[in-house]
Amino acid sequence: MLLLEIIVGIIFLIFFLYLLILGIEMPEYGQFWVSPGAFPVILNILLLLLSLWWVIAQIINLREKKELKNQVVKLSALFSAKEEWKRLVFISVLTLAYIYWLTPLLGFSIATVVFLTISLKLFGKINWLKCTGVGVLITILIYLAFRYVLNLPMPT
Amino acid sequence: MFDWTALFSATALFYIVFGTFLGIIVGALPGLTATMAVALLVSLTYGLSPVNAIVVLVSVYLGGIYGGSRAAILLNVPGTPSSAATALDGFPLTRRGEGAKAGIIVTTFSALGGILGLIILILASPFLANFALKFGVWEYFWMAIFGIFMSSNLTSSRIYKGLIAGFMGMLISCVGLDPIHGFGRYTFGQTSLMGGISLVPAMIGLFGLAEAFEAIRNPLSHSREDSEQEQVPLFQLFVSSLKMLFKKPILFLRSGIVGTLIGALPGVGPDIASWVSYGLAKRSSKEKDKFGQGSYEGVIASETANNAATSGVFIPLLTLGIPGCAVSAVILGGIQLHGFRPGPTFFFENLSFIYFIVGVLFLTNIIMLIEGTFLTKIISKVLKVNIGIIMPVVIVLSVIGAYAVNLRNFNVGVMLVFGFLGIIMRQLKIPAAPMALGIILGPMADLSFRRGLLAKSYSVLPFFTRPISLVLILTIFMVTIGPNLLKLFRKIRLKRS
Repeated sequence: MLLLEIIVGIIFLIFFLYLLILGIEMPEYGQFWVSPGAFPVILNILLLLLSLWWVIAQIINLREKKELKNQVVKLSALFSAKEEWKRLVFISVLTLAYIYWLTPLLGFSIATVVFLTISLKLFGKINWLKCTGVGVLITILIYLAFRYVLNLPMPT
Repeated sequence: MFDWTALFSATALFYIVFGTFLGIIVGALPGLTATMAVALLVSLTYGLSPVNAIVVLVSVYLGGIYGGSRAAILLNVPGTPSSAATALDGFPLTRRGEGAKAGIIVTTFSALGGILGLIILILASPFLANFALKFGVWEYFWMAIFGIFMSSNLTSSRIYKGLIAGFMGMLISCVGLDPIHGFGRYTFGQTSLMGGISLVPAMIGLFGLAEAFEAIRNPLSHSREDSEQEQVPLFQLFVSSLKMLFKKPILFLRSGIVGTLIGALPGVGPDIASWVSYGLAKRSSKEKDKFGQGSYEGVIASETANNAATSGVFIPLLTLGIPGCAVSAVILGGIQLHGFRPGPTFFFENLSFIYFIVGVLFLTNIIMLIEGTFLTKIISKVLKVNIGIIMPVVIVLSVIGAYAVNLRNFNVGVMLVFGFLGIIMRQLKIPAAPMALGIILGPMADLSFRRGLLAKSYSVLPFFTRPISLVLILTIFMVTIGPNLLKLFRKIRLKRS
């Protein structure tokens, strides 16, 4: 059975190989080891070796059928707790919508009230009235604290 | 002549109390760092007298470094980079229902660590400044590598996973204009990437946003046990923290000395001090297994060291005019703004100013101890609210914190990317702390490596032959690679037998 760690390790190998090539292609300005690409090249070589170590270690574990519960993550394990992942998808989508859709559309303060009200309802498990009240109160507190005490502008 | 006794005026004392409080609150808020608070305050303090202005800057700095431990212990979200090591043991203690006790212990040891650093500053400033000057670019390079190995070894049972995170962090720090030749590295034609990836949004994403997502995904991961410790009166908790000092004097002294020495190294600062001290504490502890599971020794080591480092950073600043870390560079700017020019002769020619700084540091540590003790239970109660309520607020604070770095929406995007990366890394059991440290140390390693080669006609020998470099390499081997190799050999021998 495929293990997620082996897949990710191979993706890392390809990714760092790509970055290594980009590093090698950077201009040399006379001597390569003091050029902009030198340090990234060294890092990418180290990362390639470490990724290889990771993949080999997991393959050995697989061959020995010695699945370390705390170390190896199976693909199936990731999707076993559906309810948990549903919550993660909800909060991720909500956060993305808050930053890239609600804030440009409504302005930061109103967007924050909407985001907090919906997320408090979904994850705080309190009634709509309380959610809205807490959302408005927290937004006002944050606004006053950042705008007037710390003198920081709000995102736009 | 500078009148250092003005420090004891009612106005100056008020500014110490207010500045320390502001620092604690800013440090406790995920994403708002001491550096950011001090940087914002420099221009605001321009209208104040030199005494009051420097008092505000120093007290906010010390309060901010200490305040970072609040969110690290109670939410597993380090308020500042220097409290990342504190979260490793602080949060498990909170889950065991010992958050308030841990908070008081950390407060006491933070203040005492700061005062210990101050004593070292008074006694050994000229000597330490000269020693710090012996560190060349070659040693700085190894210091950065040492930091990555140390945190990788401490945060992951599989060292290769920690090292992948650490070196990836260093690679991320390479993005943007190369500081020597001005060439755009890994920018992929995007002008927004030319300025590089800032540490603060990346750290907010890795620790703040990822933690909030994880807590919402699995609220049980943040459940707390009810403990009798939470009902213990404040004074009793304070007394028990002092008893801890008498039980662990070596741990305290070692962490304080290590913190001050690392703080005195120009460009290193409290972030590495806490990791090195944590690592040393783990190695010398009789209860190694408790580290990472809620060890008081762990939080004491980390917080004593990072607060001792806040005194240590003033050693090169006052004796050589060289800032010890980013925030002390801003403080140096603030000091210069008010007409003082710290440099090699400044220490001996302006003794009254030195007395003044020593006085500010001492009083701020005492005020921090009082305010921190009273605030611990209040913050603990506020953060005890249902996780489904508190984490959406952390997300909002993360967005503002990322934006506030330099008022760019791009940084909010960076924070989001690192937030999702943090979630993936948690699933793969790759620790986030080495990555954050890699982003901090990357520029130092990159520049030191190339400058080291340039200084010695492209020869790599000085990296391996200079005495301090050799000591650092041997330490890396003995502390991290050696024990792992031994483990591997034992495993192979066991299989053969």
